[in-house]
Amino acid sequence: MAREFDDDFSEFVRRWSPALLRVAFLLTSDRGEAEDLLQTALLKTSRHWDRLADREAAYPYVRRVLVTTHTSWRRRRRVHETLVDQLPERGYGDDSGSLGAGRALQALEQLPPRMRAVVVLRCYEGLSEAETAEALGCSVGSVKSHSSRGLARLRLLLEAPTPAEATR
Amino acid sequence: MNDHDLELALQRDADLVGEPAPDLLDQLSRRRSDQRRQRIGGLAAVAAVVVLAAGVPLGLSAAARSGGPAAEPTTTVSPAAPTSPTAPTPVPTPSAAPATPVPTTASAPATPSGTTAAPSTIPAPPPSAPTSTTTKPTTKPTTAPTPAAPATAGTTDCPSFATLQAAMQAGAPAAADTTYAMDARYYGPVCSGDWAGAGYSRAYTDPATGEVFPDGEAGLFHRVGGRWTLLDRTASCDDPAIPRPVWERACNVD
Repeated sequence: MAREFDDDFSEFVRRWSPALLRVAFLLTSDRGEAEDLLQTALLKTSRHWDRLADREAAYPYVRRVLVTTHTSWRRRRRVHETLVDQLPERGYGDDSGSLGAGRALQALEQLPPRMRAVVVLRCYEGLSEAETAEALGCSVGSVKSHSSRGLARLRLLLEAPTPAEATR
Repeated sequence: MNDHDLELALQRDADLVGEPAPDLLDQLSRRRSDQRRQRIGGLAAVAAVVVLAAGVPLGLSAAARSGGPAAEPTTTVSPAAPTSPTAPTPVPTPSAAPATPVPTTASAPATPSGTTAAPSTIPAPPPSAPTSTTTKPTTKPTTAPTPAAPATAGTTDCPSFATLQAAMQAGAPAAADTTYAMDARYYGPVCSGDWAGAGYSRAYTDPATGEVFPDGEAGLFHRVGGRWTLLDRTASCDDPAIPRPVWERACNVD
């Protein structure tokens, strides 16, 4: 069934999908949603694959599709979201220390979608401000603002004691 | 905490997701096939609506030219009771484009970015890249713009623009940073019986920057006890009672 895609695209998927899945996971905090997001981005890319002459640029291209698709989903799904007083429990946090596994992910969840995307692209993917602005389709000034506020908030959240620590 | 610690924490947490499914390519193939099938179904539904919309005025005008419906029996008017000839019933002019709204969101620049060089040729912009329509408001909007209601609906028997607007505003969740409004740009209602699908606009204001992100949204409406309500599409779109054209308009959209 996978023969529906040409060898080049299949090879790209095999090589880069782990890295793209990690970016998707940092954006969504949910394995299922991250896989859905990755598949959607790859499908969108596959439609234009023949026109993507520079294969070296494919990864940034798919990452950009991934981020814009996620932003679009977030806006669309806001209609159906309900605000709650407390965050639901997540399986990945261990609350064992100030930087326990999953703490950064939990902190990321507290950021607005675009700010979160900026932090992920800047800190995890290592993009410059200009590259991040291009990937998100916004101005460099907006990236600077999101980056500065996002990182400050993230540090604050990560340095705060976990609920488990607070009750000790 | 310095930047390096933060990067390490993000890298470690990103690794929690594990590896992609080994049959990822097969899953992609299946999804692509499903999308093709849905697209064909959607085109068939649109074609059916177009044929219907074109057929109704043709039939009515033919009937009007022949002096009335073909099946209508000719009655003899008694000279003792002269009446003026019956004025032909005004024929409603259906809208030219049935039911498919065209969001005016512009695409974001297509140039990929990243640590690698930019591509020499760029494919078409990513299909969903509505970010470039951002506008900087001078004041935070309290209500989204509500253009005048379109004069005609996409299909017959549609509730009025005002009715759907009232239903949408009653059903959309209240949020400080998001406003909802019926919008002629996304409206394009499709109705059948007690069901209606129509578009409306949602404007999200980023609390950090004040930037406004307008976007089109599809709404599913249902009439119960004579009252139209906006339904949660996630929960309601699986209802087999929804007529196919309405489902295509409200549920089978991205």
